[in-house]
Amino acid sequence: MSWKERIIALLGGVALLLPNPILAKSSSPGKAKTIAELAARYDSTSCKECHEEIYEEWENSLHARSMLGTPRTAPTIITAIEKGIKRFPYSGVKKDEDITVKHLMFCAKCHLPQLDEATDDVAREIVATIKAWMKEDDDDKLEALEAKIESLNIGCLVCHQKKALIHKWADGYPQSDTVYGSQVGEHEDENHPKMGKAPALGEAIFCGQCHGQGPNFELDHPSQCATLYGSYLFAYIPEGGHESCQDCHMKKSGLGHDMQAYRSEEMVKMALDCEVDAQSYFWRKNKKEGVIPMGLVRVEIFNKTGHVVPDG
Amino acid sequence: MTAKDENGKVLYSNEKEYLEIGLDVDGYMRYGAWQIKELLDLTLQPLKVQEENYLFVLPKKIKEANVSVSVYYKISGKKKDLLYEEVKKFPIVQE
Repeated sequence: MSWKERIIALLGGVALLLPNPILAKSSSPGKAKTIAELAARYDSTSCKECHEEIYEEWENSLHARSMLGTPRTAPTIITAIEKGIKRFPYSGVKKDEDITVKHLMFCAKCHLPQLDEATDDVAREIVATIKAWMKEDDDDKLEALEAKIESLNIGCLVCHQKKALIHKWADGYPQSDTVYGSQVGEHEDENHPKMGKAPALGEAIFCGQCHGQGPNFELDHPSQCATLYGSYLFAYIPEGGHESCQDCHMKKSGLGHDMQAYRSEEMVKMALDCEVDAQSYFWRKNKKEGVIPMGLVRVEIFNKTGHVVPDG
Repeated sequence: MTAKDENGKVLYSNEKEYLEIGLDVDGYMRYGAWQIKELLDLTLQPLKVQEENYLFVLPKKIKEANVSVSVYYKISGKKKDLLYEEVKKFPIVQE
């Protein structure tokens, strides 16, 4: 290599080390190193100042406690690790210390998609926190642990930023200074001073990102808990269904951001129609036994929803 | 679904379960996310009517029966939420 070529190569190497202003503007702030850091990054409380009603609706929903659940989710995550991931011969996980973000995405793909912005230490901290919460007897400590798990949730920024844009080649990539909805313009929040349009936010495909189509083939070991959008696409739509998830779970129910399912009276009324009909028969069986009265009960259940019932 | 006589004695009872994931070919429950194989879809399908018929023998001298039908959403184990309930009386009359 000539001196000239060496200098060009050296300059090229230096250029790679310098910060790129275009990338820096839209790049993430680096991986969160603790649960607290990740929770703070996705904290919804600042949204409450202006969007109080929506915040209160959301606060009542399971999205606000997506890792804790009812609280059935958190123990189920531990079951998935202990009875699944640790037993799989090629997972690389034999003990809690082996758990990484990649392993926890088995559940977090839907329950905490922002976990991909955290270090493996956070994945291990989550598992340790849930396990400590499951064993804790002291009420105060239990409450603190529960609050810590609950701080990890599907908050405003998950839907209105991280997952807001689905067709990224057409609509662009989510920017950290922007919240996405139906409008474009300025947003009165110093951390998120811009509003951008999320074309799919009101469509069923948006919810389908998590309430999915079955096995998540993008994972090394596909989990398959969520099947609703598959049912919506391949059973409801072919039957002539034309409403979106948002139509029923947010608008018609009047629940807004308090998206509910079978626990909500409104949703139950909207979900099923039942009809019961009963009648008697008289069966002339034979000479010995004579005429025998019989009952016939007919039950019809009409599933009015846009997906199978039940579903997880 | 339960049918009782005028005194509350159970004449017949039956239940039907619609399952989220279903059974494998050996009849074992498969709830685990990693158990992705050989499952039957036993759910209620969207925009479809599921019809169940229960036919049963009644005592000879019975004049009336009470039928109750309850639809529950079962979460896990014994926990279940009542979604729908209907109680109907029907006369047992030979025409």
